[in-house]
Amino acid sequence: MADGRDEVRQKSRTSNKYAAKKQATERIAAQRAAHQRAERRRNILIAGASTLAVLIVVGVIVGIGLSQKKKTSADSTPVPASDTVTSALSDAATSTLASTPDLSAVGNPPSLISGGAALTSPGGLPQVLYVGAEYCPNCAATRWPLALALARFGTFSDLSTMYSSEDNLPTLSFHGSSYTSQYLDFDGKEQVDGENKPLETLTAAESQLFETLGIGPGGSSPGYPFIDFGGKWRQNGTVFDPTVISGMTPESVAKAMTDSDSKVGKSIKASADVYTAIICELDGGKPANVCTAPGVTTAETAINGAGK
Amino acid sequence: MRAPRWAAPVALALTAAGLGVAIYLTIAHFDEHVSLVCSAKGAINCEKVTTSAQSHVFGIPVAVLGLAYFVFMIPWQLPVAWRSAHPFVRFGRALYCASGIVFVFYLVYAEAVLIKAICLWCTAVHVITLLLFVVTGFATALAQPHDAADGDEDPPDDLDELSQPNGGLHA
Repeated sequence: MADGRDEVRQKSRTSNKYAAKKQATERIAAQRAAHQRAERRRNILIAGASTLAVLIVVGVIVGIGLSQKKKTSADSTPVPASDTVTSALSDAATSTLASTPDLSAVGNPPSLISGGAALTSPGGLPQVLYVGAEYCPNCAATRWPLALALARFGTFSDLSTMYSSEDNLPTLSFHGSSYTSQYLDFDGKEQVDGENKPLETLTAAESQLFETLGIGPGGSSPGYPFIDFGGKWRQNGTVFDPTVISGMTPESVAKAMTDSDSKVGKSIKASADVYTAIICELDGGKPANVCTAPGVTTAETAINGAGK
Repeated sequence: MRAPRWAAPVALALTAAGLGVAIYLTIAHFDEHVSLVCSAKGAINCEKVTTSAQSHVFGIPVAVLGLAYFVFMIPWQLPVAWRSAHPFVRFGRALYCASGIVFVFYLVYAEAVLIKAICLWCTAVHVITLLLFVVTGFATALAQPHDAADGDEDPPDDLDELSQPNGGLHA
């Protein structure tokens, strides 16, 4: 009998112990579930906040872009080149001929066009075709040595100065300008303006050259700037590093052209000497004072070595 | 780990879409006979963007970087990866998506501030990258450990042995 009561008490104690354990387990499970719910809420909050932060950052970047577009649109409007620019250009055309160019500054020299037909003007002069855009920073850099080289063979009038709407680089614009030379013809086309709106239309022949030869190495479509030197040589993209003229004004770049010690002067002179050497090849080495100048002969030797 | 059922299929679909656009951009970059179907005038100008100085990063075409990004995204988004509770997989996937977003910041900056033109195909890739980031972020946040999902809390060590006496009491 006593044994029976002991057994019942034992079972009762075990049952109470089990109930307590079960209760504790349920409490732990409830706490764990609550903890997991809280963690999920926190994670969802983090995910939502991250998404919001990403959208805000993108919005801020786009906002900066839109505000800068409005701010720089005035600077990217071409204005007639100042006397400082035009006189510096004509001075540099002769003063820079004597010195030897630092051709290492020419990062992307022109390349030979294999089997290309000669590009000439209706009057039979060798023609230089330039296709660019006023927004384009690579064009901004390349116009300076091109203008300098051309100024050695002829005279520009009604040149404009401006800043490329992209990267805000000081430059010239060939739109609205004219060029006269007894040695060659220059056809400078700015296809679009600083806001990427159509500016000058290419003729069918120009367009065909641009579409076929305007694609640089590794490129998939024609790019700015494109220069065709008489159907013999072509320039795809910038000739020297455009960042060299970053932060300058058209006037300070023009002045720097005559300073062969400056990085800007070296880059523009070396590139201009290369262009000059090519034009000398096209027009039969005229005028002699230009085509036999040390800078030009050095560049000629270099490009012919590279071209062959 | 039990991720939401939609996580893997949605993320994989987005990855496939991103991969498709990235392949198209890469082909257009290298094959001169393929040009992007896109406006070349005004603010939307794919050509201006894809031929800009910013179209290469560390000398590598951005199109190729995008292609590589989506190729390496595939293993992170497979169902088996979403089932994994390993922290490397959970946080690695989230970090990988976040790295894509950081690069998108740079590319949006390049388009909006430096180039001042928008490439629609590039924007499509940016949107897909953003959606992948959002999907991955929320799916990771909503994922539950298997025990919580199944409701099988770890029993106390002696629970099994206690069940017998309890059963015996009522028998």
